[in-house]
Amino acid sequence: MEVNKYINKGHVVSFSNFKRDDFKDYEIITTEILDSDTLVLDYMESLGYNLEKIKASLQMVNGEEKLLTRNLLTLSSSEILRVKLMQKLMDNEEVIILENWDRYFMEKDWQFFKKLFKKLAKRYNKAIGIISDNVGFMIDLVDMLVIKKSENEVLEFSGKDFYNEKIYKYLDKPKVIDFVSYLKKNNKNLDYYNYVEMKELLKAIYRKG
Amino acid sequence: MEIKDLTIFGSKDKILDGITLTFYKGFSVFLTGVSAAGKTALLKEIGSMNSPFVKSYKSYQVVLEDKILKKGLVRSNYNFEDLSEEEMDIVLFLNIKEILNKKIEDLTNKEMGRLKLWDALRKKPKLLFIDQVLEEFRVNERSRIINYIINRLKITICYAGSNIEDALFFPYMVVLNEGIVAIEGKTLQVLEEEKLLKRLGVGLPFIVDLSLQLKLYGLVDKVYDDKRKLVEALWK
Repeated sequence: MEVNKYINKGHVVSFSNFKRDDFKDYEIITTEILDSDTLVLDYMESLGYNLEKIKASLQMVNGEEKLLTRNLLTLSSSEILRVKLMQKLMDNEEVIILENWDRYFMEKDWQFFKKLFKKLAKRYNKAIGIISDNVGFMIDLVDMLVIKKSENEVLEFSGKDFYNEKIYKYLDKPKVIDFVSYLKKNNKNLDYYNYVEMKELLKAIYRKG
Repeated sequence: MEIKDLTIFGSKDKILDGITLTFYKGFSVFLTGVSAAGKTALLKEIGSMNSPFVKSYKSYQVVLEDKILKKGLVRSNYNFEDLSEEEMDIVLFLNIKEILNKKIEDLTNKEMGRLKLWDALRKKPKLLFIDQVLEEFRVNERSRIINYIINRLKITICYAGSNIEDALFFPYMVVLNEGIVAIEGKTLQVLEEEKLLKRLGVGLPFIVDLSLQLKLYGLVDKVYDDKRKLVEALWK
């Protein structure tokens, strides 16, 4: 399955129902353990990064200073992801592919990383690929959703097209979209706008109330 | 199972600090918390099977996401001969037959998850700990599997996950934060502690969050976890 045509600088693209093999030309950031009995800081310095650069990249990934004094073998999945992303940033990689990033972080971190990934794409002109089946994470983040239908067939959707029902033959509907779709189906009289944020939905319901 | 004062040290600070929890028969638990809160560390300690902090009165199994299985054909590594009726039922339910002739190292994450569940369930535990293994599955399938284990196999589950929507599958909830139990209790009661959960970075299931906001505006009089009931109450 050819993914190269979707990996473009300045864009964030999500890939759903894909396998790691589909990205064999790329080094994906995964939760695979960093197999070294050493502290994070020592590990990074051994790779040739200086302390200033390490601290700057730690800040970029919203990591706490204590992460640097953790042993690689005891890192949680989310900490492994942060460390690997730090490396990509310090190496100034043009392409960053992340696997299931949303699974290892919760709401507060999601909002931070969405802003970061958009900034990396739009301001620093990097190509960001997110391998994930979680459409909720992609709202207000991706320029395009690519869904693998079969070994030889993909579907492409714009990053503004979250109310396209075709997406949800393959992926779970985000709850906000599920709720608004339910209201529409049951003819509950709201302004029939495709809300993707709870704030806007609340305002609409309150106006109605 | 009782866990008392469980403390684990990392290289400089504590990964888990004085965790005390009790798991009761029939009360399945959703265990959550932000990244590095200690969910996997807790399950790994329980899974060591000889932790001095853990006292179990019934057999239990732990399904870890990062557990590495032996390489080779599925069929060669697990005994599928002379299965009891219940074991065959589990094999069929988890679609294990589809992967019998595959190599373990070639399995997809979802298939690996099914195999790990099979490996744990065939040992007939009374209590099952699952660490995020089900997050590869779509929500309907996740719900099906959880229901099957709890209601058909009569096993109490403790499910560690970061998808807060999954909390609604469980009657009881525990939130870890920086290695300690930040809050625990009946799921809906915990979810009503909106300010605390948001401060912990955990978030809320969408319908619960929406109904809490609507309750603030006086548009509903209680918190809902079901969209139909919420819509009925709103449009009354």
